[in-house]
Amino acid sequence: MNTLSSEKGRMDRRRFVTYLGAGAIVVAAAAAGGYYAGQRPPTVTPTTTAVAPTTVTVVGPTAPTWAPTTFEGYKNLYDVPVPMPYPYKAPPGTNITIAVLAAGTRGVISGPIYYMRDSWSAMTGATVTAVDIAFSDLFTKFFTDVVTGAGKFDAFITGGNWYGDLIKGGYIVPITDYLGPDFHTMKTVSRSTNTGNNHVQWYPPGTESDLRHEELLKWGKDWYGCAMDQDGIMFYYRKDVVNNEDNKKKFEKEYGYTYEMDVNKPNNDIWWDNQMADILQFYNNVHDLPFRGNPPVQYASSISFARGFLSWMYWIVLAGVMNVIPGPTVDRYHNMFFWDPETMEPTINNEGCVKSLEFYVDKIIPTAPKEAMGWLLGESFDGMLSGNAAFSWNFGDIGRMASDPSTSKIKGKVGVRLMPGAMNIYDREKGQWSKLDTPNYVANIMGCSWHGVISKFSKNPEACYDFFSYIAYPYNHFRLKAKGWSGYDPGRKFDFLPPNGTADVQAYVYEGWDEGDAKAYMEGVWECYYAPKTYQIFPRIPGMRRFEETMDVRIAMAAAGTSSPKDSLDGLAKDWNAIIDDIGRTDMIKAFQTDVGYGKPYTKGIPWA
Amino acid sequence: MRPERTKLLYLAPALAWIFAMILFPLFYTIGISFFDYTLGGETEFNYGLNYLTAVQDYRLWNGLKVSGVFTVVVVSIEFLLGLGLALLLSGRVRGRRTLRLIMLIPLFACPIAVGYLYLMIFHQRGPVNAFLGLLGFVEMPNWLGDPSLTLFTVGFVDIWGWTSFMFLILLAAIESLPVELYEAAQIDGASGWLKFRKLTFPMLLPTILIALTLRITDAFKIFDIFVGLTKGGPGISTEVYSMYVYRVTLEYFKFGYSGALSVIFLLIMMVAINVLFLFRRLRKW
Repeated sequence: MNTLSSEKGRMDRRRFVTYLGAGAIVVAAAAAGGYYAGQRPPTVTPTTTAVAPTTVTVVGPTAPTWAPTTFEGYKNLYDVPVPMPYPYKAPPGTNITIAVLAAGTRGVISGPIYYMRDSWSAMTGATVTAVDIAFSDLFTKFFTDVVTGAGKFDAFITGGNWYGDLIKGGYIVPITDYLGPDFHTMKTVSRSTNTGNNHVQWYPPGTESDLRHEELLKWGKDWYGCAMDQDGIMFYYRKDVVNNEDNKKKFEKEYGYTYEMDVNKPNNDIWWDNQMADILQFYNNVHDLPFRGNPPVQYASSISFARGFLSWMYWIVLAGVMNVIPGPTVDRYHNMFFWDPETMEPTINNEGCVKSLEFYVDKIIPTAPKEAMGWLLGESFDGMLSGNAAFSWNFGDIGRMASDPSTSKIKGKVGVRLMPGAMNIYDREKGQWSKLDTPNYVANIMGCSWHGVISKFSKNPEACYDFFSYIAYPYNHFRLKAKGWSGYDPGRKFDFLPPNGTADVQAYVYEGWDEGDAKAYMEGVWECYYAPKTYQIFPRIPGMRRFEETMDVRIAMAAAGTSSPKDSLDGLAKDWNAIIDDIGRTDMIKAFQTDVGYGKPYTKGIPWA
Repeated sequence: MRPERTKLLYLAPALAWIFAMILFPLFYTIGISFFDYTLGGETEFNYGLNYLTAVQDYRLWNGLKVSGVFTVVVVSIEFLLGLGLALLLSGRVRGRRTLRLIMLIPLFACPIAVGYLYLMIFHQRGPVNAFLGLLGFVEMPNWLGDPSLTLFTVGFVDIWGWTSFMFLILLAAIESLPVELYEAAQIDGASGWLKFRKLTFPMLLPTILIALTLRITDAFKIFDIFVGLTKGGPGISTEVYSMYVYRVTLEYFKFGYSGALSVIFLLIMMVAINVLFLFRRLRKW
């Protein structure tokens, strides 16, 4: 018999182990119970009270003051959280969990969620929990949540490029029902009444978004998101350095011609091949410049080449001007890029794209600092904002952040224009190059154009819609866009300055912008989106994450010099064909044609022009 | 209760753990590797087509190459450094207790944090290049942006972190060696090198093999430092095998294909470890 001891009064081994095991089980059960009890969400009690509106009365969509057109109108609204009666009340205890890009409470894209949630909670009685997720994990977390049915998130702040997979699986719900009839024209109703609830009207006349960005909120006829961010890639330059007369004279002496960067001056055409290449090379030889500015420029280009955050876009916009040909309709050879819409055969490795990548590797990359090989997006912004770079082509964030002294040393020194064009373009239909008399410019809406979408597993979809419509509400939306940290780029009529829009530059000055920077930025953004005769689409087809990742890898290989441009793009075409065959070529043809509006007339995309 | 049942009862938790955490995932992974299984899509048996796709996948071969080169280089250096330091600090050295403690500090550092820390240290305008500038260098190496350098930069970080592990294991083994043999060798006039070759190394061999086995498997499946430092770039020059498997699983959501990649990895490691253990059969050193 196994005993610890045969002495009287001592416990034997079996009994000891039995008591020990029973005790451990009791402790474990108690701990588990305590843990789960602690997980129960607390009762939600709004702690702030709504601020009663004092200065604005809703008078209907025909009223001229839906968007602030004067600075005084803007200033009066500045401190009022919601300047109108707001009848939507959420059921008691409503909480919505939103997954956002991890940038913090005053960071790009996530900042506005934190900024607006308290006032919305005070009005509606619901609360918002924001969950920060790093960009590299965003799509993974979204997709896993909806595909597995975990339903941890009520809504996501998504990039428009991920719609293909989300729509295909039916993982996000349309918001069309909440918008009400005549939504786009809003001639007769002031609020949606379809559901029996009223939501803030966020899209009355005078507050339109450009049609191309609007399309990113829709799929087919259904709406899925409210306006939030409107991305595109613009061309930035240090105007104090690049417009300096001594620099320009030296450039002319060395290259035999001059240039004009400012879009509001005559003869301002700029093209990559080879004018912009010459200009970048000139400004990269910083020690030979007569004037380097204050702070002094250290190199020509601030763009990034690291994998993992859209670095391929810096090449794509260059490839676009050499390959996208304007035409009256969106057809097989006009206003078209990435794939042949009839066969989904990749066109990414045609002669035009290979030449553009060779140009990028040989002439553009050497004008960026060596460390840019490891830069992510924020560092490419910083290269320009710190004053080190003479040029950058990048998202709208640089223009917004340039006036913020906490992030910028170049306030008052930033010029913005549309992307340089190309004098030689490749015609896929004829299989040959064409030399042009004037540059081929291509508009782009490259970027994520972040906005909120609602998960099909949300138990509170209407509350989610109400929160997003509150952010898109013109007064709030304009305020957020004028703030440098929000990450929201311009694209609605009230963002642009006259004659293109209805904003007052003093409203931007009030938010800390330099007046000259604000004017240059809004003019430059407008030119970027609307001046060209064609545009480069941003694909939103299923599998887009895989297409992006493989492109990211192949372009990074070419940039690093570990693969030739031709081999990289041939490899990319092979990767893409494998993905298309895996998903189903017939389905992909249909999705791509729907996405690009195949067969429809080309539109400049300005509904109010 | 009969003794056999009692033994099973005590073994049950461990067996359950082995089944749940090792056997079930292993067989499940092998099973799905024979399916075209994409999250959110239809699952279809594909007769092992995943394996055929894998051998034609340039990123698989690149991952094997990067992981292989990395493993061979860092484990060799870690072993040599760890052995040298263990031999040094096993003797009578002033302050050896303090030195031993300092040697162990990198073991307690979180690898992903180490990755981000060295991202700053090896930045083009970071302290390393600043120091090189003081020494008179004009053209600074691009530690994390030059494809020919980056893998060795990451290797340096790994060596910094894991030499301590080798040191710890080998030091413990050295200190457990019988002293009498060394006294006898001393009396016979054996030199230090002869003592090492004929006594120390053969007696340490079993421990060395264990340490190498652990480090090789760990180094080959490394992930965290590469994510922190390079994310696989520039290009795919530092995309290790595990990073590619991660992308296939959690960005492409192709679970069947990632299962095949995982099984291939397992087979390679089994062969490598078995080759390593052939050394144990050496009767004469």
